[in-house]
This record gives sequence, structure tokens and C-alpha cells, in this order.
Amino acid sequence: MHDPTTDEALIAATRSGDMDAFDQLYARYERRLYGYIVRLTGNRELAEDLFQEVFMGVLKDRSFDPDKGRFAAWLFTVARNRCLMERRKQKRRRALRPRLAVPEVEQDLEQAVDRNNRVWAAMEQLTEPQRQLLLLKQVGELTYKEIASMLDVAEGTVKSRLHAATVAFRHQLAQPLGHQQQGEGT
Amino acid sequence: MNCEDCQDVLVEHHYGELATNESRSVTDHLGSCGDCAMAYCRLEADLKALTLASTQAPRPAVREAMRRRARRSFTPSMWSRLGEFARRPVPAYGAVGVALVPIALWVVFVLPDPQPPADPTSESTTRVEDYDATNPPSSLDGVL
Repeated sequence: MHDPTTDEALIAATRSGDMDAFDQLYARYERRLYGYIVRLTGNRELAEDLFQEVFMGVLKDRSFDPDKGRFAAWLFTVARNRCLMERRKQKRRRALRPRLAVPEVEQDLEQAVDRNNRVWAAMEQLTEPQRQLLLLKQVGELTYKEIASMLDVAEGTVKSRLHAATVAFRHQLAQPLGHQQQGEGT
Repeated sequence: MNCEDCQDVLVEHHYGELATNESRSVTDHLGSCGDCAMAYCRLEADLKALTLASTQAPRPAVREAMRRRARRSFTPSMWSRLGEFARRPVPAYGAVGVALVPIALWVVFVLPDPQPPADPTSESTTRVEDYDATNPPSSLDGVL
């Protein structure tokens, strides 16, 4: 008997027309997936389009095989590939906004704004691969193995790089805002 | 486990990537060492801040639009539902059969037989018995 709360069970229920299952699946991933796409594109409107495209595409695509891995890993892999493709397209058009621009925050609290700004100022000082690793681990909640498979590197490599990225991020976060050191942790 | 070993694997411990026995050793050490426990709390706070700053919900209109698309894409049509029912295993047919038995009994035993219209030329038309037109009963004298 399948656990009805697993992602795979919810996908199967959604595909058979159960909208409650869709709501559950959506609630589970909306913040993580949309946040991840916003960070990769730096553009909320574009991120909304890509979010819809990726999420609906993954639901409709029946090629997903639960035996080969978790739904989350598949979803974030698709999202990453789609974002990278979009970035290449945007670069060609020279219309892409500055990478990882600090997005608008929803909270009104000054403290939360300050915290988010500090976090993203710190993240901007990391290298692109380090940012990717931290986002996939913290936001995507993927395992080392899943990240290794996605990036096509060894699991041990992911482990060491993620460790270094985490240390570098924390180092930057400890710096006063506006005093982060470019290139730290590269 | 000493403090140096513990600090080396705190990140992996946070990410849940240590083997069970190693993770247990770290947990035991954190329970007995204030400095390492404090370091772990700071690490968790920093990474939680990253998660909070990196996750956000799209506009509610996005959810509604996706819900409509999902409903259109995945809600089965009447024909496919009927087809689905027909493909159900045999016990489903048994259940339907059992449900139909009372209806069949009601039709057979409770519903009255429809009466056919009387046919005056038919042999089965009711006849007046014991009446002799040549010798009518005396009670009909006044009438006849």
C-alpha cells in the first residue's frame, strides 16, 4: 500500500483528477521551487512563467519513474535546466537583469528585509557553483547523491564543495553589510 | 568524539548526510559540549536565514491559474469515467448485481399487471349466465 502523502502518490492522484492532491503538492513546493527560480533568474515575472511551465510540465510528463529517484530531485533538475536555458536565451538578447538581484521581499518588517539583504549580499559574493549548491541543498532539500547526479560529479565532490560553500557563506554573512569581500571562498 | 572532530562534521550533520552511528556521536557530543552546541545553533540559524531569504510564494493568481489548468488537463471526461467503471474488476459487477436484485423483485412482485383493454368480440367477454330471453324472470316484468 502506498503512503497517500508521498509526492509520488499525490502526483498519481492529481493525474486522475484529484484537485485536493494538486493543492497539497502545490503547497509543498510553491515557496521552494518559485524561490529557487527567482534566485536563478533574478526576475519575478519571468520566474512566475517558468514556475508554471516547470510545475505543470512535470505533472503532465509521464516519463517520471519513482524507482529512479525522488520527485523533488526531478522537479529541481527540470527547473534548473529550464532556468539555465532561459538565462542563455536572455544573455543572447542582452536583456537579463543583473544576476541574483535582491528580490522584493514580502515581509514589511525592517528586520526581515535587513536579514534577507544581508543573506543575499553574502550569497552574491560566492561563486556561481557555490550558490547553486547551497540553493539545491537548502531550498531544494536534495541529497548529496541527487545533487551529484544532477551536476554529473562525484558524491564526494559535492560533499567537499558544499562544505566549502557553507563555510564561505557564513564567513560572508558575518561581515557587516557592504563590507563583504569579493571572491571569498572561491 | 572531540570538539575538533565534531566541528569538522557539523555541516554534514546539519544536512543529514552522516551515517547513523556518526550522527549519534555528534548528537551525544553536542549534548555534552556547550561550545559545540553553540556553534551548531549558529550554523543552523545562518542556514535557516538562507532558506527564509530564498523561499517565497508566487502571487495567488498564479496558483489559481495553475489550478484551472490542472483541472482542465486532469479531470476525466464522462466517457473516460464510464470506461474506467467498465474496466473495474469482477467484484464491482457483483456489487452492482446485488444492488439491482431488490429493484428486480419490486418490478416483478409489487408493480401491478397492466390490464389489457376489453375486447367485445373476444371469447373471454363476460357472459350473462342463467338468463333465458324467451322466459324472463318476473322481477323484470315492469321493465320489459
